Amino acid sequence: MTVVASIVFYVAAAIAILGGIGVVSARSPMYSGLSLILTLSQLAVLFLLLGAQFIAAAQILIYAGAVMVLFLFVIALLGVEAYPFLGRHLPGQRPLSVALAAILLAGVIFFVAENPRAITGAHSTVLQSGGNVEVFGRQLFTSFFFPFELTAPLLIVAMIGAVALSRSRRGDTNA
Amino acid sequence: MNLTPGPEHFLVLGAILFTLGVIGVLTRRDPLIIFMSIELMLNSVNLTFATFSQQLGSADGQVFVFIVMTVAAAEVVVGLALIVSIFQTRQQIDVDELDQMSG
Amino acid sequence: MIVAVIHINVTLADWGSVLPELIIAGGMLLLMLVDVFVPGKKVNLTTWLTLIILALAFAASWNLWRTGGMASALYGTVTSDRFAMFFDFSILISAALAVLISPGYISTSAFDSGEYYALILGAVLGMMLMAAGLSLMVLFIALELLSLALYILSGFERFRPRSQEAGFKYFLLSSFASAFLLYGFALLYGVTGSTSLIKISTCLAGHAHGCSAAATSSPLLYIGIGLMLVGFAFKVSIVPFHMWTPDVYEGAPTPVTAFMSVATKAALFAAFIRVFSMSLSTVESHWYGALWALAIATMVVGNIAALAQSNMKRLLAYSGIAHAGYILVAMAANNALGQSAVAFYFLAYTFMNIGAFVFVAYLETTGRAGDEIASYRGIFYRNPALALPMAIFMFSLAGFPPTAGFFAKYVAFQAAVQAGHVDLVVVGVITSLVSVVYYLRVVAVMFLQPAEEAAPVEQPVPPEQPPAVEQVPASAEPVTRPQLPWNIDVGIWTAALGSIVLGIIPTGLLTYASESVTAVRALFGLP
Repeated sequence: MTVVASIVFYVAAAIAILGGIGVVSARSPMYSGLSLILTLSQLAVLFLLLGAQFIAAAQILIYAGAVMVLFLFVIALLGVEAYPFLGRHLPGQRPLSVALAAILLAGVIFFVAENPRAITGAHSTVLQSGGNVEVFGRQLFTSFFFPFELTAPLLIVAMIGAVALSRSRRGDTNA
Repeated sequence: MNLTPGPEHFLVLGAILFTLGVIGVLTRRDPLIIFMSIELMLNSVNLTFATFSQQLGSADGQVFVFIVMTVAAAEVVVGLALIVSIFQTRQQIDVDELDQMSG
Repeated sequence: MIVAVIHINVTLADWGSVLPELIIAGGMLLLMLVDVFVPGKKVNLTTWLTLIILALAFAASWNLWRTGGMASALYGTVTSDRFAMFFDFSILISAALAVLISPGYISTSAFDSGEYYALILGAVLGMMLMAAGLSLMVLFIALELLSLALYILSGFERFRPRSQEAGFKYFLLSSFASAFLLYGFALLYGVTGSTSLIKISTCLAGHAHGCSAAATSSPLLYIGIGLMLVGFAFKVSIVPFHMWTPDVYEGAPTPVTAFMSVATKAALFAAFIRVFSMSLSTVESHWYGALWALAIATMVVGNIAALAQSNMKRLLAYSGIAHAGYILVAMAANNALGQSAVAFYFLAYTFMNIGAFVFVAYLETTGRAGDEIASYRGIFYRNPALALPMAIFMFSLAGFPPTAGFFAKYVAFQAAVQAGHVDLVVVGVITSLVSVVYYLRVVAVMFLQPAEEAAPVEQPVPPEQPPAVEQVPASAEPVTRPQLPWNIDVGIWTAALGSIVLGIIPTGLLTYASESVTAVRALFGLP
């Protein structure tokens, strides 16, 4: 990687981590959502560094764009109060969970740092030849044609679900 | 460990973001923040997939990222619909309490 | 300028091998259209339509079973081998039984029947793909498909915040688990360089060209396996990832609970076996220890927690956790017999567990608090046609000899002994004995005289309780029996018949189960 790319990586990574910390530590869901947008946009930069141009574009358009707007819309709709219907903490859950998560993180970092060649295969230029989007599209519509088709029923189910859940609300008001 | 970013750096970043998401799910009580922490976890997995995809020189990982994005969008639709419908039901069941809450 | 032309190489035979799935997907759309274009109340129409669609899918699965199906279709992302078909049978039967008991629920809770059945079919589609997926991508989409449908169904009941909150809790915890599973998939992909289960298995066996020999000892593989194990354990409610189960089972509408308690587990275990026992079989030493510990914890915690339950749906939730433990014992055996035992177990479990839920669903629609065990007191004298099958289900779940439950458990433990895991079998037998107490308590409550004064319900079960089942019916004949609705009648007696027949003549189906396992082992090059 060039020096510029290295700098871009570190800056994007730092912002992404700060955004991640923001997501989990924000007082209100609104700040949490804005932090998430920050992280998602930095991930798009990282996707570009990884040569995944199409994914980077989709990340901005779909994720940081459409999905997060929906999130923020619902947050605004409901107000910024917390709705504590999930029950109480178990005693000591907070420190315990942080400790567990720290162990998980330490494990992954340790293994990756100890064994940088853990990943098989060498750097290949397949993705660069002929443009990333073409290779991506070719794979999507041949080898992974069936998984791609399967997103159709998935979206239909999500749609039926959203309609059904809002319909039942209207029924409530009528009753 | 070399300072020039290689695949390890991307993987470690993915692990850090995933862990942050886990911490968020386990420590927060606000359903929306938990939900967004889960989204953070999914995104860190996407980064991991893209890293491996570049490393292996195969587009499979990128296709997986694309699929995960679609799935996450569907999941967000259902999750938010559930949240809104719970909220509305509660509003009807206990209007007074809620007026105090949002007032 | 180069014009890229993509040839999608998919033949009619490819589509034929996903015909059952196509029928279900088409049926889902048909139900939505009926919902829009047929005016008025249409509970009967949609129920029959759903049953017909399920029957067609069953016929298509049976046809694929007969011909042996295609080992891999649609670019190797999906299979129609006999293993997938065998699990499809369990899934379709449990869906049909759940649909059969739904009309009463729909009319009392004022569901919209078309959407309800379309979502059930959506879940069935996801489950069948889960059992048939050969690619990590298909497995992930199938998992989300079935999960999304079930989240919505769990939160479907109006006027019951509890149902909605159950749905939402399920949603959060389950998506959390999905993220773990997905991270595991990502690491597995990174280590082996493929998302195809078959290519992963050849890579780990060291046969693949370009796949390094270090893959099997890569630390990322260990982490990936751990993360996938957490994800799967969560979804099939294995201790210590079972906390969501009782709340969700209690909060969800009973037909939905019945359906997901069996079919979700069947689908997830099919995928669990395909990923772990098949694809990762060469690195068994990486995951066997974890599976062993999970199996023991699940059997012990599930059975002991079930002892304290007074709500039938919660009791069945813990009983389901315990049964997941027995199934895990069969899976940990990691031999052909163990895998056939899992397949057979689910067929048996379909009948006995859904049967018990039919009982609860009927009592709920009659207006009683149908899930409180104390309210079952003396139900045998009021309604023997309901109590007798329920007794059969309880005996079967407890594993008494002439029933399906006994035989399923027997084969599971036999497989573990064959593999030399006697320790698991000892724990399994001891915890099964504990389970007898809570299952028989339900039977005892049903056969107690209906007392006027509030007597303590939890009476110690006398050891001579089982024979009482055989002698009471004769004396109870003159009692006027209330007429059951035909659908409950059909549902509960089908389940009862299944629970008995699978116990008395299990060999035929066990042969089928082992044929299905032979097919999947051949696919992954295992003996």
